[in-house]
Amino acid sequence: MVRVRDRLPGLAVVVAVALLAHAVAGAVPKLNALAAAILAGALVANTVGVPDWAVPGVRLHNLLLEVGIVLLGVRLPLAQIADSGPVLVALAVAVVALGLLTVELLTRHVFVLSRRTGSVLAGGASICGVSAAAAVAGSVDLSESRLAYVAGTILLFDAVTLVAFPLLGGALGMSQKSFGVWAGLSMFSTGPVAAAGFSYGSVAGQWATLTKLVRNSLIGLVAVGYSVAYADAAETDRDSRLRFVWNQLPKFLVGFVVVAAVANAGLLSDAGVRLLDRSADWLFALAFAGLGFDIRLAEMRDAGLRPVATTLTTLLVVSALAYVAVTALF
Amino acid sequence: MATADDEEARLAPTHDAFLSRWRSLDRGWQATALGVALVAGVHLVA
Repeated sequence: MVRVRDRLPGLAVVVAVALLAHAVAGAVPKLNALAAAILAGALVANTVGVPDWAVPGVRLHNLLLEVGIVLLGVRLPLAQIADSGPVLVALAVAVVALGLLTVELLTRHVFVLSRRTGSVLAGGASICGVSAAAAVAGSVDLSESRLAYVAGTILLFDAVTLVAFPLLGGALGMSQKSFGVWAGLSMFSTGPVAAAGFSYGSVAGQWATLTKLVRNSLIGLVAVGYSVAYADAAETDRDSRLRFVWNQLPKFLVGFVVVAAVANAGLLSDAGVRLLDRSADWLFALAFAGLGFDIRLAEMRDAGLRPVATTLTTLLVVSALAYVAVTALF
Repeated sequence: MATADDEEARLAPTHDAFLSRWRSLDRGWQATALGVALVAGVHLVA
């Protein structure tokens, strides 16, 4: 069992990296503090490595990211969300369906992989990266070694898109909102999506995260769909399917909605909103420093040529169509 | 009169039960609890 005091040294390392990145970004023109935090973490993890005593604290980055997303609720005006909500949901459903279909077709007919591996890659590339891949792997009963093979591919694309998307968005002259929605629809894991969005700008970060949350909320339905497709009908009654959908739903969405409702009801003072806004920024900075420590080049070497070719093709198809849709609608 | 050690011993089971319950929570619920607690704290203070 990991005790609170076991997490403190690693947490101190993450805080130190985030502070250092903040200072370096202040001194280097055009270098974003969040991008600097990720780079610094990745540099340490892939050179000297993360010492054992720091691992429990560094692993808190996912929790810090999710608390940051919950607090992001204070910044988002519900009227604006309600206005764009139906379009975002429709785009997310279309993108997930297109991604699933593309990966399933490619892994069956072009870059042939086993059916189960193809389905897990489809889940990861279409919804929310490694966590979605793990959820679908549970549904289709994929071995851990094959899951690691798929996860390596997704992590490789997380690292590449984290750098490439903001550069592309800048080159294409995308607005903050358009870029955020585009990154939220096209990229894979939640952390890199939020990081790419916030490195483009604060508004882009909010829209990227919001769009990604809409996409993530589909994970339960997709995982249940796969469990029905792979399992005996007798094993998947209606109650267990509903429970499965609920179990897969990212629970921090509840906190995000509660906080957005509280903020939009006017229950927080302006000073309070500013303080929570700053807190969310710092939580993201800490989370992204920790995320950098998770970028391991050695793990990406597990990625195979066929999954990489499949994922690259899917990313190009989905992101190109998403770009056309986003620029037409926003 | 109760000493500090007595007080610590009295609270230990409650503290352990809380930590055990906290660790058993899904990470998303932990994030929700921490986020809502932060908002509530700021609402009371700011």
